[in-house]
Amino acid sequence: MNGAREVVAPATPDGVVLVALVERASAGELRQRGLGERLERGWRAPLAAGRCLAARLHRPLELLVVGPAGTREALAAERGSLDVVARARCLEIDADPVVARSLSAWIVRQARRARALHVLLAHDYGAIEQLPAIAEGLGAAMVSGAIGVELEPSGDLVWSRPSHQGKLVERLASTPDQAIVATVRPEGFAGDGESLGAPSPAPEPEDAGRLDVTSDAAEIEWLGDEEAEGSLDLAAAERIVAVGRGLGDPERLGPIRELAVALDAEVAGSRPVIDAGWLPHERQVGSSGVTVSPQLYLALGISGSAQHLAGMSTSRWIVAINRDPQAPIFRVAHFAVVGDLHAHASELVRALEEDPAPSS
Amino acid sequence: MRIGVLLRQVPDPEARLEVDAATARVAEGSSPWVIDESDEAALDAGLELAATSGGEVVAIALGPARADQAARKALALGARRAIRVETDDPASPDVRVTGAVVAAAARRASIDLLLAGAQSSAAGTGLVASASALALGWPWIWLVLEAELEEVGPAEGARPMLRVVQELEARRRRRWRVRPPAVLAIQTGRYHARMPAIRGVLAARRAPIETLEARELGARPEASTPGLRRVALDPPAAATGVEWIAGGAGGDGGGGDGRDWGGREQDGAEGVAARRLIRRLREVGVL
Ligand SMILES: Cc1cc2nc3c(=O)[nH]c(=O)nc-3n(C[C@H](O)[C@H](O)[C@H](O)COP(=O)(O)OP(=O)(O)OC[C@H]3O[C@@H](n4cnc5c(N)ncnc54)[C@H](O)[C@@H]3O)c2cc1C
Ligand SMILES: Nc1ncnc2c1ncn2[C@@H]1O[C@H](COP(=O)(O)O)[C@@H](O)[C@H]1O
Repeated sequence: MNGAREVVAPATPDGVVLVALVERASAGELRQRGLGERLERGWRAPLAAGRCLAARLHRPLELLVVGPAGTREALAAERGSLDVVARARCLEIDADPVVARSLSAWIVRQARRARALHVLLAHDYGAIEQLPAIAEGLGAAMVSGAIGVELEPSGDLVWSRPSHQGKLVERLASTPDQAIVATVRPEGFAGDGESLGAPSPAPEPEDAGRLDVTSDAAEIEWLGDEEAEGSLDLAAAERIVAVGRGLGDPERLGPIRELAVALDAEVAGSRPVIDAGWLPHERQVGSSGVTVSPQLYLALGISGSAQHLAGMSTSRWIVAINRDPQAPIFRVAHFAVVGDLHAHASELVRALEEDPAPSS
Repeated sequence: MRIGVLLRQVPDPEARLEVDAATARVAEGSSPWVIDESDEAALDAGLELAATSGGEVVAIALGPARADQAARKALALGARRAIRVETDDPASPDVRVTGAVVAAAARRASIDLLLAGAQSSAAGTGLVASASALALGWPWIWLVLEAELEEVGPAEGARPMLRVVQELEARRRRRWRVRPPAVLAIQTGRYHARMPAIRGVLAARRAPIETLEARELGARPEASTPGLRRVALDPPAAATGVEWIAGGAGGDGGGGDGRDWGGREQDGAEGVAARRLIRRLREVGVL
């Protein structure tokens, strides 16, 4: 996994912008659903970031996609949505986790060959884990979780990324010749890049060659994967009442459950609630839990971290109750109530009991 | 086995953050500073591994003088040594620089296994463990939920291998076997913050904390020229498109829009808000 440690070739100031995307699904899964959804969700943002940078810096945009057998064909089918990509290359590999760890060395080689000064990746676990290896191979500085980039008159780039659990946004400047490797958050670059360049299909994806697997077996060995346990299908729920650390005490779950019953909803929680053992793991919403998109999502005492939002932000109606008016959850909420969740939960139960839904 | 644990102080998660615009940092006085939750988990894991392997824990903090509090808590919980490297907070906007300093401190302390938090609630890059591992030339694993040392027979003489459970997206897990020296980034879940006993606290009060300058550690010079400068730290743009449901007086609910919200004299602010919210949810058709 440390195979990227070679001599650093300085990238040229006129280098390309390279978007490198890794599909970790199996060949079977890919055959079933294609790349459409992946492009729509996690990959839209790094592609928009690439378009945005390429347009601002007047540099070509190149695309590198790694995935299981069939990736190249799936990518070719989506060419129409990959406007302004000057060149697309594709590497098909067996997604063995040890192989995946040596991908960074391969991405470094490709980026050098393309003389890439800026490399953009999706902000997923695999990319975050391997980012420093890619950066080191390119002599690049790292931006973790970019949501935007601006070009200053001086030629400096200013990258924005959320910090302090989304309560603040940090802006980091890099000089024009500074190589940068960035992961781009799915919610980032919204509205960027759409109007850049005429929508023309990308060229046919090329075969990017093979991956020479450098074995790390001496120091690291993969023992296997485990699927999630549990039989609850939280993603199928039409309504969800979710509690966060603001609950304070598991003894106080009673009224929350009553509220869920009154709303005909499932109870769910943010990670701290599950970590503390107040609710079982199958009820965790977020990037490391379940992704849900119910008609109604009621968030009680949840601050709205990026990892939580990743699991619920596409819900149809989001209601947030939080005593902190600055809580980031309010940025995705449709209805917001500032106050104590316990008092509001019991009043909601009372109001629903006294005034049940008009029978239809 | 000598286990290094990185400790980062973060603003109290409940605090209202204020930013010092001149330095683009969280204002020192705007919040109490506490050990990051994932670092508390790393410390728990480190103490547990040390107990089962007969090893010891060395706490490593980078930061201004207040970071001594974090080091002291680790000493109170049974860490053998504590090191603080004098830096700003955060140490650098360029994680390569932070990684080089951490690596130098780990070398200085002859660490065999380095534990960090997976992702702090402050900068939250999630990159410090891996950047430090690269600088050390060691393997690393991010998002470690559990770590255990394998038993080794006396004849083998080698360091025991680690068995690690790693978190993946969407509730999946992956198991690895790693040979130390290595760096593990600990994720919350199995490991939790410990509370020191009074005796430990009293003993830690007098224990020395080794304070070092990054320069003295000889961090790699090529990495000390940061490729990024922090130019601003601001609250995000205000939320738009959200409908605020206020409480307020009973009667018409005090909505101020002349509508009958169905509020009643005896309702408190929460009762009024509850009725308004339910009314609105019915209007949009979700109830
Ligand atoms: C790799 C990784 C994966 C992760 N995956 C997930 C995931 O899948 N799901 C997830 O949720 N998190 C996940 N996290 C954790 C995430 O970063 C946050 O730490 C977590 O979401 C915070 O949960 P919270 O909002 O409940 O707690 P906090 O952030 O502590 O927020 C508590 C909120 O409650 C409010 N509050 C307190 N008391 C009251 C009261 N009486 N009435 C009303 N409001 C009150 C506070 O104002 C605060 O906003 C992950 C983190 C990492 C690093
Ligand atoms: N100043 C610091 N001192 C000690 N450890 C740190 C420091 N900054 C980061 N770390 C470690 O790196 C982890 C990830 O930090 P972050 O980059 O903020 O996500 C933290 O949880 C700590 O374990």
